Amino acid sequence: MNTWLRVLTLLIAAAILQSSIFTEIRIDGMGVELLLLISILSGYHGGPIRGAYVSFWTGLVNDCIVASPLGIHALIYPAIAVAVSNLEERFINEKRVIRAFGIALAVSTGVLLTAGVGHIFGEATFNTTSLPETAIVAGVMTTLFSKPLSSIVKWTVSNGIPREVKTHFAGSKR
Amino acid sequence: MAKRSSDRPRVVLLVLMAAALTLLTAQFRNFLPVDDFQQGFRDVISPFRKVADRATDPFQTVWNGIFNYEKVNEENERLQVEIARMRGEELRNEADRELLGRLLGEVDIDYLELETVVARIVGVPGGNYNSHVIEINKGTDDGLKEGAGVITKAGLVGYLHEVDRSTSLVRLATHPDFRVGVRLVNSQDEGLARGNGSPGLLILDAGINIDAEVSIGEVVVTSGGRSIFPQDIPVGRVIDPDLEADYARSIVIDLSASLENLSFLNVILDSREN
Repeated sequence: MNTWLRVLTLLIAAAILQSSIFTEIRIDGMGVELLLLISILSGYHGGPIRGAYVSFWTGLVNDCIVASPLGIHALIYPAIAVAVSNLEERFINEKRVIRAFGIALAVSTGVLLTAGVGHIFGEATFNTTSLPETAIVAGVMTTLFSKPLSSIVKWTVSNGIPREVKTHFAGSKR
Repeated sequence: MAKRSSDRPRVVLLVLMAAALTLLTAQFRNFLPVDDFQQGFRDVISPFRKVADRATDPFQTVWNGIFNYEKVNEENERLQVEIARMRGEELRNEADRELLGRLLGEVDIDYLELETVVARIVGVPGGNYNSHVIEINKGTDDGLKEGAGVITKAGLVGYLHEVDRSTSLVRLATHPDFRVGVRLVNSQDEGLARGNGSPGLLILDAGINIDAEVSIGEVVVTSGGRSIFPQDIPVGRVIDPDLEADYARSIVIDLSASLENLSFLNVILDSREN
């Protein structure tokens, strides 16, 4: 299947899930950022350029489903994806816990940046008193869904990208 | 060989950010196709959402059972207290009823006669972007329009922020961008109240005289006029009249409608003139 057809399918499926079941999966009103997670994973698996394109469209889809001004999320998500992609090499051989922490940090940063940009554009949509708490809880909750989603995003965005080659050095443990 | 500009991540990122900013500008300049695009997308996925909602209903129930158990218990207790209170009210004598009738007459509340559409709350938008916003199961197909006032029998709730074909988003009165013209029933002073993000509270800090006589418990209603809300819809009661203010008063109003425990709402269809 063509890569962009895969991306389209993934985004529509994610939009349906984000606006149905994930509206209910909340702890004290704070929920999962499924589309932000797709952006992060697309940067991780697809590289900076493909990640940026996928994230842009992911942001637009999120703008549509949460009825925010069109472009707010699309402005932030590509930057997050490119940043994640640039850090990917440092994280790829790290322990699972460290990678999970990286994802949680990226989600929290995305939530905070979206709130900041929204505020600049006069959208007082976040509860500013609970914003840090929201960012942390959303980061942790979203990270819980990263493992199953990672394989799907990898299949979606890494079509045509050369597979990674693992190198072994004599005497090394890896 | 030199890299093409489209192969450079920074160039791609800048182009995409410029595109996003262009879309934002188009949106804020009320370039209609942008709004229509968003509404169209939501309308297209709406049937699939309903199917996904039904299919995952057992999972949602389990989740709510685990993480909202205390909330459900509190809600049960609140409802039990409410039932007891209503039973007590039923048993009140005729004198009390007369007094109640007189008080309602003073406030001149006839908002229950407004033509409304009853809507059920289906949830909140996904993610964390929209706080103080809820989604209802009625839209343009039911005659709803953007900006229509939303009330319950207890009073003001908010207004329709986005209206799709079969669903709408309600911006609650506690939303920081919410504004409503209000009138203090005893003093007849009028001002502009706003949400400030605090649950159940409105702040009246514009248009009110520094020397206005405001008492705790005073009833506040909508003032009507050019507002999207018809006049005399109960808003709440004053809980802090800010009597010690030197320059600008900031009166705190406790909303009469409990926004935390809503199930059904009334969307006003007619916006009557004063």
